[in-house]
Amino acid sequence: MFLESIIVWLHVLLFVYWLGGDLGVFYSSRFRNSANYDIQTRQLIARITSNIDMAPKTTMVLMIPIGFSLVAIKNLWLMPDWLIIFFWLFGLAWLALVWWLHLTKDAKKKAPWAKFDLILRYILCAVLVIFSITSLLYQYPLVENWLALKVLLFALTIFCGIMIRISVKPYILAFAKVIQDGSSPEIEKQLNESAAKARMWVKAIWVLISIAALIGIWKPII
Amino acid sequence: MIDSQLIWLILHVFILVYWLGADITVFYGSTQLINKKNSIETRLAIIKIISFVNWFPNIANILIFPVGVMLLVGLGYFSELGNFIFLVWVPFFLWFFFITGSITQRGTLVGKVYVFLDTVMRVILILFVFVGSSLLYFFEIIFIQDWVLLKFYIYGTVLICGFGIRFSFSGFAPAFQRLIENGSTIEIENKLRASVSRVKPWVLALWIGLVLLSYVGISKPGF
Repeated sequence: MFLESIIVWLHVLLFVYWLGGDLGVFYSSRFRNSANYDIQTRQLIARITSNIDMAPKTTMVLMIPIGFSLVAIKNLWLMPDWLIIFFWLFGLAWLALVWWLHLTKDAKKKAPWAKFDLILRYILCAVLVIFSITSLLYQYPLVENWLALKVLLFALTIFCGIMIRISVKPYILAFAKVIQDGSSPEIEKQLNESAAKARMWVKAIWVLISIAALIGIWKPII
Repeated sequence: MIDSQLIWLILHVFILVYWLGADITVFYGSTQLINKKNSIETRLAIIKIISFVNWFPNIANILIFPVGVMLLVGLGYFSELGNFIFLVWVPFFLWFFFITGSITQRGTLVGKVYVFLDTVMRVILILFVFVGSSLLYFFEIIFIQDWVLLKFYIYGTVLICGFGIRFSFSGFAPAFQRLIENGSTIEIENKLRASVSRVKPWVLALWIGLVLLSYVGISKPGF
């Protein structure tokens, strides 16, 4: 009982720091994208945004071990112990990778690992979609449909995260150009178009995790 | 079927999201405000970010109590009050008005009046939370479970931390104003840093309080 309440509590706190942390990231990115500020200010705000963004990034990764531990403790998936250990090892290793990518400045060194991280997200998204669909159809491995739906929503948030990475690629290039050559209306347009696309996916994540939270509390019979 | 209790519960969780979660930006941003390497323009941009994001903890701070009371109603508390329980919202609308005024009118005489009214609201609430709920509990005027009383006490402590933050941070705004007007000096930078250092223990205590509040709400311990 004590362990269960601790895990539920951690699960709630992950949601708190994910969605709440994202608010600051989202709002401060407007300043980073604004041509009204000098480049040093925009660079610093980019750094602040990136640092605050580690809260949502960390919580998203930890949702895997914490979420599946909760599933196991509530007997919503009768999984062997080794699988729980695997989820924890996977989650912690992935978290270490996410933080390493954040702290490492050497772009060349980072590039293969960033690609690996992206592939990992594709695989995880696919695996979770399969989990949820087989559960919705055959009640396996997850025994409750509301939980299968929650997992599907989580998989979709991972997909949105992938889409953010893809949509900000032109942004990163344009921002580097602003730093190097200074601002111009053309580059600013590129920045804002790219940021607008990314914002759409960020908002989708907010909606998805909010619905997931509602389903987690509600536990509807589907 | 979505019932009212579910709506209050999800609201309660979202209040925590926009209080504790949003506070990361406020706290981290404030550490950048005292960084001497950052230009005044940069720091002005940061203060705009902090000021906007800080609205969320401010509003959450107000809403958590009436929403919590509505949740207790769903658990069978205050049933003798019937629909009069909705009157619990009235002082909180007023409080919202006072807080909004104290922020938007900062530095003016009207702003000072709002700050005073906000302080009065907080003192009344702290007294109610500690004294009122203790009377209700120990004299068994109404049945209050242990965990509910504990939540009241922790919420009261969080409100006291809010006071601690306000008073320990009171020197920041004038020092920051001087920074904008006169530029950076060792004296001004020291004052800014001292304000942030003084506020940190209160912020940490507030976070611990909120984290404990959520744990008590989830585990509902009995003693």
